[in-house]
Amino acid sequence: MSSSSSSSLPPCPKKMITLKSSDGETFQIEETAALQSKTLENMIDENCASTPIPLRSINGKILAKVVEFCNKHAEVGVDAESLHAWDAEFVNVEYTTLFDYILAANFLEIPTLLDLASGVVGDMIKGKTPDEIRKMFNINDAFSPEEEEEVRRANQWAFE
Amino acid sequence: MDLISALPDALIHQVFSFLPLEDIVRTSVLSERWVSTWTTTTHLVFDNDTNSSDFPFVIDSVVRRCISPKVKKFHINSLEYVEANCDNLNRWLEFAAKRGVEDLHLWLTPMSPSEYVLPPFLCCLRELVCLEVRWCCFLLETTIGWLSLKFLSIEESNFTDEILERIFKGSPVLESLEVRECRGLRNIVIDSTNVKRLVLRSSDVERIWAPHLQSLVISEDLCLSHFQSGGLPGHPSSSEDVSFLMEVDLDFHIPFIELLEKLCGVPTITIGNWCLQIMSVLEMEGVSSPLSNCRNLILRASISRYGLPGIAYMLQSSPYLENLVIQSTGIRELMVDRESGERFNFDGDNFLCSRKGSFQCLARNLKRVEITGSEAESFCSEFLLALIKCLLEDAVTLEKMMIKADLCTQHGQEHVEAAVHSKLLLVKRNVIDYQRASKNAEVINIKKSSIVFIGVGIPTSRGDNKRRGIKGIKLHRSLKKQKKTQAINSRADLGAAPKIVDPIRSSSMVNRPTKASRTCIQTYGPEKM
Repeated sequence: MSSSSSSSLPPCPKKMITLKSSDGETFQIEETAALQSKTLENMIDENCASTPIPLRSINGKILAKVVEFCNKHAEVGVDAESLHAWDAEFVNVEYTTLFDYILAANFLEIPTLLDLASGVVGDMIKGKTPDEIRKMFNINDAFSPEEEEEVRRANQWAFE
Repeated sequence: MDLISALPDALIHQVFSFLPLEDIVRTSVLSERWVSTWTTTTHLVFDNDTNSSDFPFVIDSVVRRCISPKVKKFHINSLEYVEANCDNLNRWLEFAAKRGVEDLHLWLTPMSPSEYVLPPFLCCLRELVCLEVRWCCFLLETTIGWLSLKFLSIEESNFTDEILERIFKGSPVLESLEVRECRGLRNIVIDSTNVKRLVLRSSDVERIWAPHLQSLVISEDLCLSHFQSGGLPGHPSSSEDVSFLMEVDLDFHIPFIELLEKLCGVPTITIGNWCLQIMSVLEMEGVSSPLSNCRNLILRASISRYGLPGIAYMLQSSPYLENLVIQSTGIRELMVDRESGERFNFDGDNFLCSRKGSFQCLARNLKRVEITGSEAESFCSEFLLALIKCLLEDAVTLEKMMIKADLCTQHGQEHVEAAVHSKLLLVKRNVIDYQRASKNAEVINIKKSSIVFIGVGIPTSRGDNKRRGIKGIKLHRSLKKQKKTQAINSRADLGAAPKIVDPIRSSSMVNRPTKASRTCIQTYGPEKM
């Protein structure tokens, strides 16, 4: 009796859930922090979060960062300004990592992270010429000059 | 394939949502994968930054080629509206409407005598969350069904009370309404408990009835005037009460005493130039001020001949005042008629002397005074100095007075600074002990930086004019944290907000306590500025 009643005691310790990355690493995250992910929220709601949740599309390195992000954004009493600075530092990474964040945020449905990372990618593209963009993201299958000219002509106004 | 090209379209559109349309369309030449990616973008924002005459053609060409099944955001900014564009607009809006637009922005530049009449189908967009229109009008007979609309902004429109009523009826979840320069609107009646915010810049409005508002912004021009207020749920409120207001921002020149009366329970009030000067006129006309429960008073105004009476007006009406923040905006003259103007020929010291007996807050609650100003001129105001003098002398409970002068201005700097410094010195000579004041000379000589003069004092008694408690003088770099001071809006105070009954004033000029003359300034007497 005493053991079963322990779960209903009011000062319940922080409820943790466990996430498992594609490369088998496990991460503990507080349920309150995990709720920022709609995907995880659904699993928690459906009581599917008692065993480690396998996230096959997210490796350990990225999952660690995502957990860090969720923890930070679940902290209470952080003022907007310092959170903003923290966010800026968080996405101050190689663009390849940004795409990992975008994919992970999309999979886990974390809108704040998705907006943050895709906003940075947007900023990288903003005002750049197609050549600069290709170079930046290593896009190699460019058109021939003639083909490009044709596409360009279809939307001439955007290139003026 | 490279990483960005490998992203699914949905995620590329997510990135696109942060880009101007030109950049989105330009991606079409990146590679084969990108040729038509832009045509399914969910965000179409047309900005006419260059004021190009091709603008309508650009919109048209994009709209014709866009095959996205869903357009979340559709903005047209700065399109010159001539009647010839009417058909185009109808077509573009139909395009957006059919794609379940959520965020619609139609910002037209008036180039025709009459506004663009919004097509009726626009009035029943179920997915619309945000709608901003300028130079557009609604057909009177249109039925509105904006089931998801939360934010509505209407500028330069011909408007009627009936249309507004219809909008409220048809927008069950509307939270915020902005109405600017709309002719014909007289009464704003908001029953809905969802509408929390109203922004109004439209002088035709005569009456606002909005018992559930939390934030009200009324502005006439760029001089800001604010009232921040808070109400207590459960506070006895008549249907016309504004007791839920958390923030009011007022700037208009119609009589507003009634409104002030309704704001009596609010803990934080911010007042800008316009309102302060109107209060000044009221004060000089002997109109009594309604009592208020204000704890924090922020004045963002010029402390001039035309502002000082307004401050007196507020100090009289705020016996519970604890924090006074003055963000001096420099001298601006009030546009008053000659007759009213003559009333303002007074001496600042004498004026405050005659009034301060009724400043109950000084005797009871005022703890902290902060005076900031970015224009050197503002510190030259004899009226500001008179106020400082009055506060230091009579605020028995004062713990801290802070004067921050950010003196980075242009030419003639030294001359101005010298004048400012001498004024400040004069103030200091009277309020701090003399040794401290001489140390200050060093502080005051610094050019091109901000001067912060902080006096911290815990006065011992009313008669103690020396203010022995004052201990600190510091030099800081400029700290522009005005926003923070604005945020002193403490909801916690509300619970204790007593219902205030005006005990003294029915006609204030007659009933001002005569005690005022007894407490008039003593130490400053001979040193006239």
